[in-house]
Amino acid sequence: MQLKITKIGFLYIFLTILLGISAINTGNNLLFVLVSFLLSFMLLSGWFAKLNLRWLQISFSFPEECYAQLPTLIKITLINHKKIIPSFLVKLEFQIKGSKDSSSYSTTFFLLEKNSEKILSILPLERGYNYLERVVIFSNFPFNFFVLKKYLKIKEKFLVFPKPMNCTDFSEEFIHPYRSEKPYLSGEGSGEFKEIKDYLPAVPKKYISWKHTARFEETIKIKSFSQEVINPVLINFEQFKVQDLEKKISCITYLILENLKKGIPTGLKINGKFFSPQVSHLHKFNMLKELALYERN
Amino acid sequence: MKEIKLKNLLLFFTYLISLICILLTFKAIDKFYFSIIIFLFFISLFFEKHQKFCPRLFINIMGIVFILIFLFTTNLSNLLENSLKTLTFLLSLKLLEDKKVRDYLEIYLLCFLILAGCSYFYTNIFFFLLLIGILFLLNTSLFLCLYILEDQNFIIPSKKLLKIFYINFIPFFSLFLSSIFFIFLPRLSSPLFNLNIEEREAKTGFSDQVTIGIFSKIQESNSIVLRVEMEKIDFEYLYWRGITLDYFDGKSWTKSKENTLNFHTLPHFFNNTKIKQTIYLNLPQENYLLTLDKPIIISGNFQYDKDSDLSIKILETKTYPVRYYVYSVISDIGEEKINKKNFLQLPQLRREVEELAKNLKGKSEEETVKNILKFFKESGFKYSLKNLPISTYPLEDFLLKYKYGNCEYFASAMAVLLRINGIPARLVAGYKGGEYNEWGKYYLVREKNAHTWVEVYLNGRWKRYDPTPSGIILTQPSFFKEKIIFVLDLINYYYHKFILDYNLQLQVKILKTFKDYFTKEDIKTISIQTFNKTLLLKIFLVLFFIVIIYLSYLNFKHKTFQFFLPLERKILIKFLKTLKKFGYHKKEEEGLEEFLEKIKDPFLREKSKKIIEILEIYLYKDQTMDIETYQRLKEFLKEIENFNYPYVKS
Repeated sequence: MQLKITKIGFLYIFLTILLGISAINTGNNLLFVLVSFLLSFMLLSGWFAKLNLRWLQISFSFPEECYAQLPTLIKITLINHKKIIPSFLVKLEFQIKGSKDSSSYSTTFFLLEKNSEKILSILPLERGYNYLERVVIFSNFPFNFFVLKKYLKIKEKFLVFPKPMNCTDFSEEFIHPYRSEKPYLSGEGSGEFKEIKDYLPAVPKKYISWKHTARFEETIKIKSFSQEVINPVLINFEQFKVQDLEKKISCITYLILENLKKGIPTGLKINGKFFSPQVSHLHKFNMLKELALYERN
Repeated sequence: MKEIKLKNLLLFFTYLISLICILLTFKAIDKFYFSIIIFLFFISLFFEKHQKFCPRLFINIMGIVFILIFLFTTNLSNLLENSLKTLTFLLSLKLLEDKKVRDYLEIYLLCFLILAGCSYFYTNIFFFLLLIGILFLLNTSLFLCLYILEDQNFIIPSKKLLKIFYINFIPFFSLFLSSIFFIFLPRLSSPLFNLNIEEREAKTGFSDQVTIGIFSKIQESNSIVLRVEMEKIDFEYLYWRGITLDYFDGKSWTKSKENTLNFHTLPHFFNNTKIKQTIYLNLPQENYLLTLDKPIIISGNFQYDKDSDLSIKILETKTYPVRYYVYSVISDIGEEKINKKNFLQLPQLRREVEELAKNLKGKSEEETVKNILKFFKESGFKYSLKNLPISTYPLEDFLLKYKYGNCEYFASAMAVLLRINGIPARLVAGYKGGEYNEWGKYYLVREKNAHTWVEVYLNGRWKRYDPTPSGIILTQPSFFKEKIIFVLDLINYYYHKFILDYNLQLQVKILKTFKDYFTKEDIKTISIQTFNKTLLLKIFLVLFFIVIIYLSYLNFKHKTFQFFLPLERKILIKFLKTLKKFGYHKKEEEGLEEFLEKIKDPFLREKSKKIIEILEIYLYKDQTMDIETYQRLKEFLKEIENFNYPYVKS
């Protein structure tokens, strides 16, 4: 713990000394009472300040998906394990550090009874693993006479995906149609209208044909569509001829995200690894992780 | 949910503190300035309501002007009044401006300094209680300032407002801690810089002269003059002697001669029963000390003069209340040779008075005295405090015309009548009676007990005679209300005894007591009289050894004191203790894994395994356990404890 006395604190010490001298000189016992109070306050405020920062537990929750240079929200939870006394005005400071740059953030918990949550917007600067460092809780409680700091031994890392960048000019030529043994079919309802069927559980409401349902009274009818054949794509990282590596990674990230959003199975060939085209969330995560950690330890 | 703006709460506290501090200065500063300050205070309230404030520049200029006036008009004799005046004025100016956090702090500083200054003017426990109350308010306000510093418009739900008041734990515990500081803070026997501030106390009507008729108002005052710790004695002996007066100019009695005499050397006092008194004199009596009539030995932490007429005068300036010890004898004092001429002096009197005196002359001096007392009793003289005959010749008018008056009239008249008849007489001004507080074992003497009586020189001794009709001065309280007053006074008395009267002497005494307890030689010399102290010491030592033995046992059992153990060791001890309840005892040489093998119950085994796995990380890899893990393990332990194991049930 580190203690820094503020200007007001120094004034308080000066006042105590001044009154102390007056009390000793005059022998006025009421002045002695005041000085005794000032000294007790000094001692107890230190002890209470220490107690204010004790028995606190802090946890950070980072989102599963976050992208470099795009604001992202993190959740900070502060739990007070003290049984009776709340913690007041606990300020939190931390650094988010990438491989080169770092940025600082701070937030204040005004009154902490049992636990308190804060959602804070941060801006990760770089792709790859970012580290949560230099976590400090501090407070000027109880009277702003001093600031008590407590450095926490927290070092957490979280993955930041590359910044997506739209590079429509040259993206077409590096996207290769991928021929697989089994054709990729789109999900229910993306093809042409096929027939009217009876309602099945778990079918989205948008497929209900209210017109037909009304006609057949008690039976709910749904529209059925044919499935569409979609051509999957494969992105070859090495063949993507962009000089700037970061830009290249950003463009590919954008392509992957856009394709997957449209439901186009997308694969990636990078660093000797091959991700066959798929649309699953895990697949997306793996590809983006590979891009995020490209040439990063 | 109702919400409260903290700034409004802070403003309320600030104005309340300021108002109390301003009102406290009433006793200390000029009434003209006081009314201006009160006026400014109400103006600031008006400003606050309409959110219109004085320009800061104007306030700063006014502040500087006042500080300059203070510097140019202050000298050592008026330092305190001027400081208080300036501080209060600055406070009322500060209240006029739009307040930021810094301004609030300045206001609190000014209030605190005003309180410190006012402590010279108030000796009552109510001031002390008010002081503590203000300290609590200041504490809360300073804390609220923290929130305002973060956000000017900080709002808190009214339900959570109570949490804010947790901060008052600090002044609450300070009350106890500051008592230790109070006892041990360094003290001086005399001031380094004398600022002449001991005369700021309220003065009583006691004066080194008695002017007939002017003290009637004092005799209606309830202010406490002195408290006397002593055994209860008969009411007729309760005469508190102040000053002896021997010169009469027709209107006033004054003291003409002062001869120093050392009472300790008077042999004839030693045979009399002496009454010991510890006196707390609250209000200055023209530097004269009050004692039970007649004082023979006196001691106190000051220099004093003892006159042959038994008046005692302090030679140095003191802060009141003053404590001193006196031994008095209530019987007549021994033979004394005097210069009779000094006590027969008379002013020019009317012929009728002289004729009256001659008519009262008896065959002997004793008979003359008796005749005079009889005259007052049987000639229609009445005691009164109202419409006293104040004229050019008050004494003559009292004797011949009005026949009513207070003790001064009666005593003066008797002394004059005696002197005319050639009998030496003098007046003694002091107090008579007092209320005895049975709980505190002390007499309480108020200003209304002020009294004057006569001492007559008969057969070589000074004898006390009181011609004033009796039954006027209140004695014992008999009503419930007065009993409450007694209890309140008892608290006030202890406040004076233990707080206001605490000094270097007492501090040395306390330190010596501590030293005596811990010094072998001194323990040997403890006499039977200090039996209680020895008993206390023994109890303390026994308790001390019990604690030591208990701590040693804990040390032996857990290798070290649990209080200082790291979290992982603490939880291990708790874990083993819990399992012992289920019949699993870990041997000293047994490893944790081995111990786990012994647990047969699947639930206990599973839970214990979890705990041991985590514990091993911290115990054997030299890592410090964090609170989160500690709490988690504690929850596991709770689950084990709540488990209804059949073995335990049977």
